[in-house]
Amino acid sequence: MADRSIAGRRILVVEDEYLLADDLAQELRDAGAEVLGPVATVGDAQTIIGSGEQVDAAVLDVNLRGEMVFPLADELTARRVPFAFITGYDSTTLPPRFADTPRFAKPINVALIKTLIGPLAAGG
Amino acid sequence: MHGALSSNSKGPGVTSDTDDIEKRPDRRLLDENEQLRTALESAIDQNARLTVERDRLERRMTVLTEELRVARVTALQRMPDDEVAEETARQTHTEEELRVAFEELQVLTEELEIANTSLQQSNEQLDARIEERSRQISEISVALRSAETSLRTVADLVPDLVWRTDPRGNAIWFNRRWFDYTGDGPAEPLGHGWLDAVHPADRAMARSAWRLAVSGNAPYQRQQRLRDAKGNFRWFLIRAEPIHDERGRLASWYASGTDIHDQRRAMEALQQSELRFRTLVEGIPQLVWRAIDGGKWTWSSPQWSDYTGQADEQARVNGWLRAFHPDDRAAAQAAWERAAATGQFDVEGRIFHAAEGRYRHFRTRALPVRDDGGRIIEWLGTSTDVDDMLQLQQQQAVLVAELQHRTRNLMAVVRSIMTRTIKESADLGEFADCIDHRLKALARVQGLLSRRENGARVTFDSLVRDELMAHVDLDAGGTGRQVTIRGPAGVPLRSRLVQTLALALHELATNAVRHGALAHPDGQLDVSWRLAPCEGTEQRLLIEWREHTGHDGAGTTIPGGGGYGRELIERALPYQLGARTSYELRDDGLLCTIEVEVPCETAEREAHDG
Repeated sequence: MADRSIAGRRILVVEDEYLLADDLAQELRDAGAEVLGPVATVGDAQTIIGSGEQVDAAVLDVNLRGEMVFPLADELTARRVPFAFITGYDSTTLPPRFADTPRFAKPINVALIKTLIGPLAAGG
Repeated sequence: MHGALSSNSKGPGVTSDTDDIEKRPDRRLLDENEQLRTALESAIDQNARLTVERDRLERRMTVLTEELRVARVTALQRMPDDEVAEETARQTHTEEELRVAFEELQVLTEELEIANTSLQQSNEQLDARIEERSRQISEISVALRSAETSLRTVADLVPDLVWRTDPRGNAIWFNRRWFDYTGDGPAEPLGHGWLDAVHPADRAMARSAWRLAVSGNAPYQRQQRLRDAKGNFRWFLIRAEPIHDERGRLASWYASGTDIHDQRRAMEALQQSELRFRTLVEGIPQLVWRAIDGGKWTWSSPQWSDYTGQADEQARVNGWLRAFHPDDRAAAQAAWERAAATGQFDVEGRIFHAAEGRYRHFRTRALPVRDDGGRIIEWLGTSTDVDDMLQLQQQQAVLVAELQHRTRNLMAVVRSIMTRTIKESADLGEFADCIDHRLKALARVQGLLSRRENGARVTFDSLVRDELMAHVDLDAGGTGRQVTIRGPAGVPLRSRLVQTLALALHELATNAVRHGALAHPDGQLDVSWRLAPCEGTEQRLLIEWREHTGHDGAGTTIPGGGGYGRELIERALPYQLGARTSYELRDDGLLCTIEVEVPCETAEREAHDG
């Protein structure tokens, strides 16, 4: 199941629905990735980023217990960490500055996340 | 001749006026006749005197002539010569006397003839003058008859009802239109009879007003209804004015009635239309206003003042702009610039609501009112509060997004449950049974969430009762043969808690029925909960799920140590909801505690916090 493009990558998973977060984390681990989290809140995610851990990519649920994930997205943008939104919302509800940010509809899988880090792998 | 003129008049109408015209030449004529008669009488007197004098002289002359004849005869027969001479002398004297008397008589006769001639001339002169005056009077009479006819013609020609009264206000003449209109007989309207044609509702006032006008010698003017020949009433403007003769004495009153029925009805209709319009304008929730080109307001409805706190005068011309949000004023002005070209004004902008002290969203529209030539006279505009609608639209957008989010989440959860159930199941039969129960539990909680009314929250007691009742029989108080539930009712749960909590309770109940307390005939399940005091907006709900199997060691026989239910409680609830939980398999059964945050308000209206 190990995949070269994703093996060893450190993927931050921010998703407040336990079952989804757990499934995705399991799938990523099965694919050989290292999962950061999963975490269910913006605060917990910021703690991980702030701890100086290497983050290769991130998938972010938009709505975390009623809190929007956008401040975290801005931090990732600043750190040039590629990320995607995991969302049930349609695109119109996202702020315009994230117009180019990839959006994954639930339920997501490893194949989707590979598209996110594909360019990284090619470049590095 | 005056009498003759009067008898020529065909009615009571215009005779007095002809009197006035006739008087002056007639009086002059009488004066002249009088003078002539006086002169004639004096001439006749003189004539009589002369005749008496002449008769006296004639008698004297006859006496003298007789005396002379007798004297001559006597002298010739008996007298001596001297006597004859004496007698001749006397005779000569008498003859002289007779001659003088005769001459006197002749003078008198001449004088009489002259006087008679003068008298004859005077008579002729008088006759000539009388003839002249008679002719003049005849001409005047013809002219007067013509004038009277003209007056009648005019009075009958005008569309008004016309009548005339004596100086005391008693009607004495009406034009033909009066009779045509009212159908009155010739005598009916005379005196105060015309008041009978006045509408009963107007009559008393008309009568007293007419009396007041006559007694005060002041013009009369009233609007009153007059009955026509068919008994219908029409509105008339009745006017009357007193007419005075040349010596300033009140001669008569002339009155006219002008039919103003249609005008009055039109005016009333207009007033009613105006009233309806005003009622409509002031009744509708829109703020209504009028403007002339370029958006210069000329009027605003009371609603505008009530809403904005801006008086009508303040809103006029460009004053209304101050009620608009500063950021929207430019757009409103730009809309007016477009309006002249497009023929409509339409702009969305916030307008200040004085009562709330905030701006609300308005749709402001206007259409032009044009004259016959198509030129714009003014604009009629409305401002409609669309704030609630916009908020509802925004809420709707949020709800739709939320629904999408939840649906996708739900599908993901279903997929996850299925995956786990497959892993747990030894065979397809077990899978089918287990997945069926779990999906039903999920369906129940969706039902609870969707049945909420007015955004009221799902309460914990309803959630736990619903879940247990899917497995065991409970009475209305929540008590079954082997089950008790105890705790305050109405504890509100946030939506995002409901689903996971429901799934956890389902797993607990399933395990209790299959392997736990409810799998034993004398087993007992007690579910209890309590609320910790509020801290800010949150309070902690402490839930205890306690099973007693009645057989030591029975609780530990649960396969997999609780499996999926245990995972939900020990991992999902803390992860997803920050809950504090414990799951302890004790000798006589399971003891599970769940501690979650719930909002302080009971049955509060749910904000969009998931």
